[in-house]
Parts: sequence; C-alpha cells; structure tokens
Amino acid sequence: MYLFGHRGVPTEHRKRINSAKEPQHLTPEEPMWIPLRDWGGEIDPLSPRQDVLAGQKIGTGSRVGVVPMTGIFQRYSEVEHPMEGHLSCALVDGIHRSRTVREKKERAGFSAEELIALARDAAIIDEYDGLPLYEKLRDFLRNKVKLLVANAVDDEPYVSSGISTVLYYGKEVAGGMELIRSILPRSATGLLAVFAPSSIHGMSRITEHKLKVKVKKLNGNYPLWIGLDRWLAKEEKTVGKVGVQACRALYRAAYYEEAQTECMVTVDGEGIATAGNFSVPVGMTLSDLLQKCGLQKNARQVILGNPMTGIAVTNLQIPITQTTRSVIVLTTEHPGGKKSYPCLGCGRCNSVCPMKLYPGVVAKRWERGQAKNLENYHIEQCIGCGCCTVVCPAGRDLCTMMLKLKTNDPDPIQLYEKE
Amino acid sequence: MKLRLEPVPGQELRNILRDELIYRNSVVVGALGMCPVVAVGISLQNALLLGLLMAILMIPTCLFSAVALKNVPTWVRRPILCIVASLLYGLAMLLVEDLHTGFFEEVSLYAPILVVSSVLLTHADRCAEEENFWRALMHTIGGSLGFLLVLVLVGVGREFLTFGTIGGRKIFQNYHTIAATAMPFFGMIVIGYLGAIFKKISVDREKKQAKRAKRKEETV
Amino acid sequence: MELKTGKAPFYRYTDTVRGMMRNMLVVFAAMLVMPVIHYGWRPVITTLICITTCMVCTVLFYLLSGKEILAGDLAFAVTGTIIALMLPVNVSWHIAVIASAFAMLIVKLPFGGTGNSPFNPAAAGIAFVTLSFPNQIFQYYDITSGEKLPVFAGILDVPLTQSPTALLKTGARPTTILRDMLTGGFVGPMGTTAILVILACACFLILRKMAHWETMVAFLLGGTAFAALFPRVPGLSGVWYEILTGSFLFAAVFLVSEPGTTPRQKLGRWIYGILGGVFTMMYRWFGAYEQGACFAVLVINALSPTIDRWVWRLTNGGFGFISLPRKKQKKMKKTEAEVEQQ
Repeated sequence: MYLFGHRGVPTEHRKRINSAKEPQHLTPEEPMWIPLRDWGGEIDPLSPRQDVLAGQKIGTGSRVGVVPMTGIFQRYSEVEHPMEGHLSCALVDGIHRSRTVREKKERAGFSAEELIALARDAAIIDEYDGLPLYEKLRDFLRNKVKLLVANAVDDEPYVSSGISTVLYYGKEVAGGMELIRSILPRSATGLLAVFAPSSIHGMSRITEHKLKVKVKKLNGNYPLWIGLDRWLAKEEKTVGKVGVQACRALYRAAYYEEAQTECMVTVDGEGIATAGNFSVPVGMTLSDLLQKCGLQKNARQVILGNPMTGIAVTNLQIPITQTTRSVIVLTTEHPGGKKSYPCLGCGRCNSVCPMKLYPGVVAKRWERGQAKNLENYHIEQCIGCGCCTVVCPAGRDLCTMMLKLKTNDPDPIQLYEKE
Repeated sequence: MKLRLEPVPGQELRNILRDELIYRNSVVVGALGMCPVVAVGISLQNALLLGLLMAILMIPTCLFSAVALKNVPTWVRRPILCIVASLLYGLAMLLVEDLHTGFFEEVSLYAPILVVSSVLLTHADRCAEEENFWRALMHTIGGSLGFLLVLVLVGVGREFLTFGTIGGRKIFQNYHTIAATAMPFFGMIVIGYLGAIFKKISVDREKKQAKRAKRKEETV
Repeated sequence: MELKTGKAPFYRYTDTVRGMMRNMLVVFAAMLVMPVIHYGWRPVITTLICITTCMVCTVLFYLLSGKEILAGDLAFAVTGTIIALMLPVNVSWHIAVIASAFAMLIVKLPFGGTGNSPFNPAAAGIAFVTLSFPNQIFQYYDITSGEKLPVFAGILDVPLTQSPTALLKTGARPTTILRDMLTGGFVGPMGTTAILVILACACFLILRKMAHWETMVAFLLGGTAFAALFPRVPGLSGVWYEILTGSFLFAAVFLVSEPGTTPRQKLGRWIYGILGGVFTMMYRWFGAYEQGACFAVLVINALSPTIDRWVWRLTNGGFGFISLPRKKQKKMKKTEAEVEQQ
C-alpha cells in the first residue's frame, strides 16, 4: 500500500503469462534477415539462391550468423537496427515449416576452454547486455567470479520473457548455470534471481528443490534490480551476471548441439490481439512477428524493448535479435496526450526516485539557470530508470534532463514535448 | 588628488542624473537606506518632508567630503561625515518644522537616522574619490533626488492603499482603511515591486543598446 | 496505420494536473456543504467572490507582464476557496476581495505561480486581513439570535458573538458540547467548524496522494503536545477545545500540507509539522489575536528551505557532533561504488 511509501513504479499488474501453455514456437512467413556478427574466423560467402539448412553457419568474411530454419539464401544486406546499430544481415526466404527436434547427448564435464569455444561456436549472445557469452565467460574467469547470478528480473511493465524461460525451461536454465559454475573457482555458487509477483501463477514451480540451484524470488516496484544490487553488495563476493536465455542456450549447445537460433520475446500491449511470450527464430522480421500476433489497426506506437527504456520504431522491416526481449504495441501515443504544465511542486518525482535523488529540485534549478554545482544532489547516481517522468502529472521529461546533466551532454535539454 | 573646477559637458551631467534616478537608484537598485522609506514612507507629505531633510543633510556633507576629505582613510572619513551631518541636522530641523509642525514627533526615530544613512555615506565616499567638482555636485543632487523619488512613489502608493487619499485629499468616498499596508513589511513589498519595474526599464534599455550596436556592426 | 516515434519512457501514470485540481475542488465542494446547511447560501457567494478575484488578479498579472496566461490548472480556485473558508460567514466582501488580491498579486504570482511560491498564499491573505481588520475577522454571526443572514449584502448588520477561541484566550472554558463540535454546531471561521468533514477530506487527500500525511500528523502532534503540557483550561477536554476550535485543524489539513512549500525530505516534514503546531499554540498563548495558525504557517514556510538543508547535511555526512552511525555510512558508500562500477 503506497501510503507508507515505496519508491519506484509498480508494474506487476501488467504482466500476462498463461502458465498452462508452453510458449508458442513461431515460424516466419516473410523473408528472414539473419543478423551476422563478428565471431572471429573466416567463412566463405554464399552465392544467391543457394539452399541453406537449419543450424548452418552462413556469413561473409568474419561476420557469421546461424540459420534457424531451412530455406533459400538470397543476398547480403545492411540494416539500421534501433538497438544494435548498423547490422549486416543475410536475407533468407522460402522457409520450411518443419522443425528439427534433436536428442540429448550425454557429455562428460567441460573444461574452461571447451566451454568458451562451445559458447562461441553456438553464437550465444546474452540478452540483457548484448555481449557474446564467450567474452563474458572469459571475463568471469579473469575476475575470478565467486557468485554467478542468472538474471530473470523482468520488472518492467509487460515484459515477462525471462520469467517464461525460467517457468518452462527451468531445468535447462539450471543446467546451463551449472555448466558455467563448473568452470569457475571451486567455491563459486549460483543464484537464480527471478521477479515473482503473486499475480503470476506457476511460480511455485520455481523452487530450489526442483531446479537444484539457489533461487531468489523478488517482488517490488520497478526498478527492482537496484534492490538486487544492494543485496548482492552485502554478499561481498565478486558477482557475474548472465541472462537466463543465454544459460539455456549454453545448455542446449552443450547437450543438444544446437546453436542459439531462437529467443523468447514478449509481445504485448493494447494493439496486439494475442499477447504472450513466443519463441521467435532469430532473424524473423518485426512486421512478420506482429502480423502473427494480430497487430490491430489502431496501433500507434511499436516499442522495441521494454516501455521504460525502449525505442519506438516506425520501420518494421528489422530483424528480431537475441537482445529483443519484448515488443510492445500501444494504441495511444506516449508520451503525448498529457498537457504540459509548469511544475506544480507536488513532489512526486522526489518521493518516487529509487536512488533517493531529487529530480524536481534539480529541474527547478536548471529552469532558473542555476545548473552548476549539482554534485550536492548526487546526480552522478542517477540510473536513468525513468520513474520521475512516469509519475509527473505535468508531463515533464525529467529523466532525460537528469541524464544529460549527469553526462554534461551538449545537446539542449527539453523538459516538454513540443508539438 | 585635488578637486578641479573644469566645466563638464551637459550631456555627461544629464547621464549622471539619469543614472542616479533610475538605472542606479540607491534605494531600489542599491538597496541602501531602506529603513526610513519602509518605516515612515506612508504618505506624500512624509515623503516630501523626509526627502527635503535628506537633501539638506546630504548636499553640504557630500560637497564637504569632496573638498576637504579627499585623502583621508574611510574609517576616519565616515565618523567625520556623521558629525558634520548632525551639525546640519539642527538647521534642517528648524526649516522642516516650520513647514509642518508635529512632523518630527510623527516620524520619531526615523528622521535622525538619516544622519547615518548609508545613502548619504555612500554618496559622500564617491564624492571624495571624484576629481571634478561639478560631477560630484551632480552625483549628490542626483542621489538625494533618487531618494526623494523612491520615497514619493512608496509614500503615495501606501497612502492610497491605506487611507484612499493622496496628499490628504480623498479619492474614494467610502474607503475602508487597511491598517496592514502602513506596516513596514508592506513597505518592503512595495520596494520589491518598484525594484522589478526599475529593473525592467534597465533591461529594456540594455536590449535597445544591444540592438543598436548590432545594427552598427551590420552597416560597417 | 501510421506509426509514431517518441521518447522513452512509454508509460505514464494517468494523473494530470487537471485531475489533481478537480480532486481539490471535489474536496472543497464537500467542505461547503456544512456551512450551507448552517448558514444558507451566503458561504457559496463569498467563495465565488474570492475565486473571481483570484482569477481576475491572475489574468491581469499575466497580461501586464506580457506572458502567457497560465490559469488552466485552476490553482486560483483552490486558493480562493481556502481563503473563503477561513473567513467568518458574516465577513464584508471587501475584506474577502482584499485577502484574495493580496494572496495572488503579492504572495503567489510574482514568485512564479503554482509550486514556486515559498509562502502559502491563502495563509498570507488571511494574515493580511487579520492585521488590518481584526475586529471584523474575529466576530462571528450569532446563529442563536434568530435573525436571518442576508445572502447578497456587502456589509452586514447582524448580531455578532465571539468564538470559543476568544473564551480560551481569557482563560474561561467554552460552553459548547464536544459532541456538537463534530458537526459544526459552534461559531468559527466558515469552513473550520465541521470537524468530521475536515477529517474525511484529510483522508481523501492522503489517499489520492495530494498531500503528505506526515506533515498533517506532525502539525497535530506538535500542537496537541504543547496544549497538553501547557493547558489554558484544565483537564482533557481543555486539550480537545484547543485542537477543535479555531483554524488549527483546518490549517493542519489544508495549509500545512501544500506540497509546494513543505520540505522535500521525510524527516524535514516531521520537523516542519511539529514546529508549526508548537508555533500555532504559542501564537494563541502569547500573540495579540486569538488564533495564530496562519502566522505560524508563514513562519515555518520561511524556515522550510533551512530545514531541508539541515536534514540533508545530517543524512549526508553529518555535522561535526551529530552524524549517522558508522554502519549506515559504509553501506551508502558501498552502494555508490557498485553503481559506479556499472
């Protein structure tokens, strides 16, 4: 109950997980744009109209990608992806509808070099920070990580892809965590951190007993990972964070010899008919995904990523990559619609900031032209969560202002959306 | 430093007067000598008489400072000035009492305070550093006129709000006397508003000058 | 289907400024019910006069200063209603106009309007007319006299009586029954007599997040503690009389909790409220007038930035002799280091 003050913005009521059904595997109908990344090594380019098989590595020069489903390669091209930047892609169409189901192979333990090579071969990317998993494993070894935290903290509104991965593929996630833990120093432990509000059924399936790994269920307001970080800081061990989808992909690479060709994406919002979590092949275009999920005619904004820190896209011919955890379609344009007013002095921004900063006070000082000596307000601790902008009744964009003041950005600061 | 008697161009003297009255008014812009304005500047009559008193005290004292106290350090000059002003006070009292009996009982403490007023001392300091006699004289006259101007504005405003009269003449027939506007806090509020008005005049003038300078640059 | 771009975050609470002001007007409509029942339609007319004066002052000010007229948030209606509710029902209308004009033209608008004024404009307006017309502010229409209260007359000639606070100031015990006071069966300023309505409005404001509950509770606690320790009338009922008569409760709910003037930190708000309660009671004891809530509110408004600064220093390194215990400081430093690593 807010009466006794919680900082942050509550979001658990906006998550929809149908815990009875496994997430649907989608098959693309439009041509796929398979992202090619730099994994080192050389590969020969393909010629147009060449058949490619599921699991085959294709690429040009040092840029390599993995084909999710059998089809016909057309050509190479470049795409400006809002989250990944300039991305080289391979266009593949004529997708076969069948999916190959592989069998589990028993393997003895892996050494560190073997696991890192496996992660690189399987082209696994961590979905939270976009780094290749093999680089992260190398860093873990170098920094002698003692606590491995698998991140399924989906505390933003609508997003539940991490929670779904843990709900349905929990054993695989735990297996992947165990694999990583086996190459870390001997006293290293693993921890699965998952956002588990009471409104999501089936959370009782995620227990330490069932998954054989320590589980920490979190509940609270966005941004929850601040609380998680503070709790981890108390542990006084070197922490290494990894995403649950990357853990699962590592497990499947080790025991099923599969590369990471699918990612879990939450598609939700008022502009979608069938919302939920879907297993999407990497490279499926955004327009294809939205058509499959029932894009409504009154959709106004398509957001790649979560609503708090995502990007609104207008060009839907971009591929879904491993870092796309959610796609939200809204029928009302945000942040427009709220009439802008001067600051009321209501103080909600000050009471909601999770880092206990004072965005309202800083904004007033900036408006008066006194934006110097702001270290007294601890601006450098701002994490850009956006809570202050969410609660402001006067429609002021405080989050961007705080970030620009923190980084001394030369761009002019705009507190109001000019129409 | 000697005091010279060279003639000064009339335009410069007018600039000094204009600065003292508006752009660098001692009370409103310099925040000096607000105490008598705030406390007893509540009617036109009080304002005029206090202004006259200030002029009688200020002009001779500042000219004396310009002539005789040039190379004296500040901490010696100021007590001497206060003594000179208090010597003049007796003469001023006789004059003003003639104009309106009972005035000094009304204003009690705030008339003698003018002897040590910061308006007087600041102008005397400036006159001591001034080389030219005419400029010093203009500074002094301008300073006392500036003080008088603010006193009149504040006094007329407050008299109107408190009693509904100006100079003793009723403007409205059934005006309910507001006691709070005669209190010192309201004097501060009026000075605040005057400060805003004077600042706007200053800012407008600066904008005009900047425009003129820009136009000159463009034609050159 | 046309897609639009935008800036993150793409999620907003649905509170708007208009909505907040509408909530306040609902509260004030509720507050006006009891005065209308007791006194007829005159309270509504007085409220309308105050609101109109505030609106005219706002429009005039913005026209004269050449800026865009920022009256869409209806904050002038809030100020006007609070001023009207703190005046006696038999107040002459020129007093209401003077109070509203002072509040808007001198205390609120020159500082930048809503949220920027360091002083509560309604408290300042009432304080101004208390200084100017004390005998008219503290004489109330005698409802037991039987004479009807005219609705549209500017200056009234009705039998007047004193409120219980005047009796308390002389040390006598008021004669009203405490049970009657809950529904406003005693004389006082227009909006401050219906105790139950004020408490209900307080709950509404807290639940709608329009006011901080800490300031209200602290103000009441400070005043009650002072009244209990230094009672003017002996006994527990003496303390009840102190709290329920006059504008103490009204000030706690509507004047002190205005978010633009309170300190930003929780501890600061507690100190602010307690000081306010103590000052109100001290004004009642030692001041020239029988009620002192408005003056106390103005004093603590002036102290609000200082309280903020001191509480900030206290929680961020402390003064020389007062500081946080060592453990908490270490924890805070560690979190900062963690954030820097990211």
